Amino acid sequence: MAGIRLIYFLPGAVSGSVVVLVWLFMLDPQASPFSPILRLFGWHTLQDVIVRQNYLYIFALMFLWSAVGGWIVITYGALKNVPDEIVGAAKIDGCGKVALARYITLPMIRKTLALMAILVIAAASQVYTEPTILNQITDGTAPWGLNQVSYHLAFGLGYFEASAAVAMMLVVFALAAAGIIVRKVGFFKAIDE
Amino acid sequence: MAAYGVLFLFLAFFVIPLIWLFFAPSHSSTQELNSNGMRFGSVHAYIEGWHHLLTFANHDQLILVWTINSLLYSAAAVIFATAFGVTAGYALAFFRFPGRRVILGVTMVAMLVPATTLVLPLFLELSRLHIVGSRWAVILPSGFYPLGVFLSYIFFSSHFPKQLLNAARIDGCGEIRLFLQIVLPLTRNVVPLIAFFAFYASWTNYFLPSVLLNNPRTFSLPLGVVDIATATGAIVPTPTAIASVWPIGRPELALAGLYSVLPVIIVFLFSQRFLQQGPLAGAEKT
Amino acid sequence: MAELSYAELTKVFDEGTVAVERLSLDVEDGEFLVFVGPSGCGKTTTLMMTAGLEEPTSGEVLLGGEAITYRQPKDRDIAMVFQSYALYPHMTVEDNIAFGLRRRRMAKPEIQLRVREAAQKLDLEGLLHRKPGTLSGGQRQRVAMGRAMVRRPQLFLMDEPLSNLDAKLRVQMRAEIKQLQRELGVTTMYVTHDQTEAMTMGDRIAVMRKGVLEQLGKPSDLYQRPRNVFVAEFIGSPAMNLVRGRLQPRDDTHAALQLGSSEELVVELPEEPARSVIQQHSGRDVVVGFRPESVSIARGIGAPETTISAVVRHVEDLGSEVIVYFESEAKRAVTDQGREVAADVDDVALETLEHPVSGRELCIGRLAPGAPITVGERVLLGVDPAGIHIFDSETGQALR
Repeated sequence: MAGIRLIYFLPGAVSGSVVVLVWLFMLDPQASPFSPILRLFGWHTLQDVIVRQNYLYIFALMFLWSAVGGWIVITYGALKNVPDEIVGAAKIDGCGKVALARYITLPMIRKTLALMAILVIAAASQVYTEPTILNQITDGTAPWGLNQVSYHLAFGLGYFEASAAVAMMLVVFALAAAGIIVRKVGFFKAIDE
Repeated sequence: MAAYGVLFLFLAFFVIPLIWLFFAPSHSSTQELNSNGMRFGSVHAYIEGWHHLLTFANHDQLILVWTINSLLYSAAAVIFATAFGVTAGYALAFFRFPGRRVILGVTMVAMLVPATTLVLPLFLELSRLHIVGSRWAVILPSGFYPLGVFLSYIFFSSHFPKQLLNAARIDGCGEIRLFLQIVLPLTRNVVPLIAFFAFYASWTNYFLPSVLLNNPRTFSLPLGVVDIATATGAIVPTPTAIASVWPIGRPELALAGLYSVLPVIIVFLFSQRFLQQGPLAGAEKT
Repeated sequence: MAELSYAELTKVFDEGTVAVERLSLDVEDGEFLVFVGPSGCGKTTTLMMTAGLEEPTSGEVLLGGEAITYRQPKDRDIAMVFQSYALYPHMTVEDNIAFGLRRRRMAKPEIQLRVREAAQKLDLEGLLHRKPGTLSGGQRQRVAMGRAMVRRPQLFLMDEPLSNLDAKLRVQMRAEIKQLQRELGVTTMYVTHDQTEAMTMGDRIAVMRKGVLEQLGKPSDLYQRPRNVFVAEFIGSPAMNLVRGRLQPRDDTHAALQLGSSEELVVELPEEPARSVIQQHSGRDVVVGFRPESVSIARGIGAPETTISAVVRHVEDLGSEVIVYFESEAKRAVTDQGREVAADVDDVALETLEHPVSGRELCIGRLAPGAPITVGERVLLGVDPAGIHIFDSETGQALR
């Protein structure tokens, strides 16, 4: 099973540009192994796929592919910390698979889940690599991420203050999300107090 | 058994693109790759493709230069991040000093702050030191790894026998010797964890180096790969691409991508045991 | 009726270890049966298979006449108290106790009633809204018991519930648990490695070793008539003295046990068929056992057939009795089983095999309070012939 976890983890090690390369191929209905699925949507050429309406999903897909693996490894570690005896007690108490997850496992790993949610929100809102590269190779028609905007303001146009302002927007967003999650989950309290 | 079905679908999602990546360089040209994506071409194509990568841009073996840069940056990151992380975590866990809570809080927040916010002040600071554009711009800040400090702090505060320190002090141990001879040997469980994550973060880092470096000779591998892609339009032809001059097509680019992933795979395989524990082992302690 | 039965229950782990070997026994409805033995003897594995948390390799488990061998734990109508209590850390005491009932969709008022009842019985009323992390070990233990109680199952399973408590609390809880069980009348399977717990709590005791049931019986049976050396040494604190001896016939109804060059004890032989079996061992080495209580100070000169000359090496005056460690011609028979028992860090074993006085081969005796005994003195000790056990030195089986 460790081998499978490695497989989930590997895409995260692939650097951004290669991710884009790989996925441009995966999204090309004429050459991709996923072409039957793509054709279901009525797409027949790469140009059909890379259109304005789809950018959101394309970025999400690329991000998912590279980011989820690491979190699978971390969540696995957290799940291993749930004592076998408690799972046993729950089974004896009458828990089926769903009830076990809902009442026991998930609540017991909620701090890891919270951390994951916070960091994923932060990371996803900061996508930089994918939009930048996609823009460079498709002639700048792809929408920009805020991170990109901030960068461009600073290094492309020299408006450092504006750049900082945009960056702060991202920080505030991430911190707000973090704050809400931390409060809901009671992150800084011990689980059994 | 529906669970296995779902797992299998998931696995397919992750694996298929990887398989493509492994097989892509076995084709000798972009056209051939486009029509035969998931099948294996020839071993010879790998060698040819590698040769093409080596001779990219003036026969400079730039790709090797990038490799050395990446190794350099990652080595520095591992050393600094681990050293600072362990010492900082140790201090935060066992010593009471004014501002301790504040520092802990700030460390946590630092983990959440997107890299964007840091780029600007970092850039300005480094340019004041006149090192922007040189390798030092990447090496110096690499010690800044809040996750490392956090992991170390969790380790020391929940998995370390505090009484040991007092016992050693009573025995007459000075603080420095205490740290070097008693504490350090016992960090076997957390140092590899921090080192691995620091390595991983540094090796795959694109954003910060791309902002701070502009001389291709200082690029790390991730930057280099993008450079090839944009310069040669290997993915999608661009107006600024000088495509036909160097024989870099999709296969070569895939090879470059594969090449940059290899070290992480190797390091991951070696550090399997440490990742079993999960970085938050202890945070969930009930 | 909630009788529990095992029929040839076997568990072999993947690596080849036989954890439980063809266990067959019947537990009566309402009985408190204790499984006892050193670590690795298979008692916990048997418990796990009874609970459904472990699948047997072969054999059957029957509850109330029905085969539950392969049923899910939740369909077995059982409740369990774990060694570490396994309380749900993120739920309050009340939610912990009510959890099982809620999962079974019991009506709210009924749940409330049962929880309140259990809380009252276990003195948990003030703690219902607290979480396990804020409770003491003893309180957590009671919550675990409460959680099991409210289910009103056909069978209670308890896995060393007292081993994490301090000594004083343990003694108190022993009585409470037994009392509770008597009140509720639920068939109970209790696992422990502590023979004192077994002896004080069990209606019957099942002694296990390396996956095999060594003996099943009432505490007094196991104490007075152990079937082999293992049970003899395991049960009873301080442990039975086991020494080497040679069997020589005396006459038709008696046999002499030579303990050394000059010491010997004479015992009366039992009726047939045991008599012939013992006589077959004539001239051979055997293991002789006698419990510390069988030892007394001989009055006057005393008959050589029931006395041993000994040197007192160590004395422990407990007020209620005097424990004496003495050295004599009787040499310890250290059996494999004995070593095993000692290897499992157990108060009983440590006392005897690693006694406080350096490595000499000493035997233990329990004398009446105020016995006139001093260290270094040579005394004549009497051994009650009725309390002498003989074991085959190779198989360990009891001959008398």
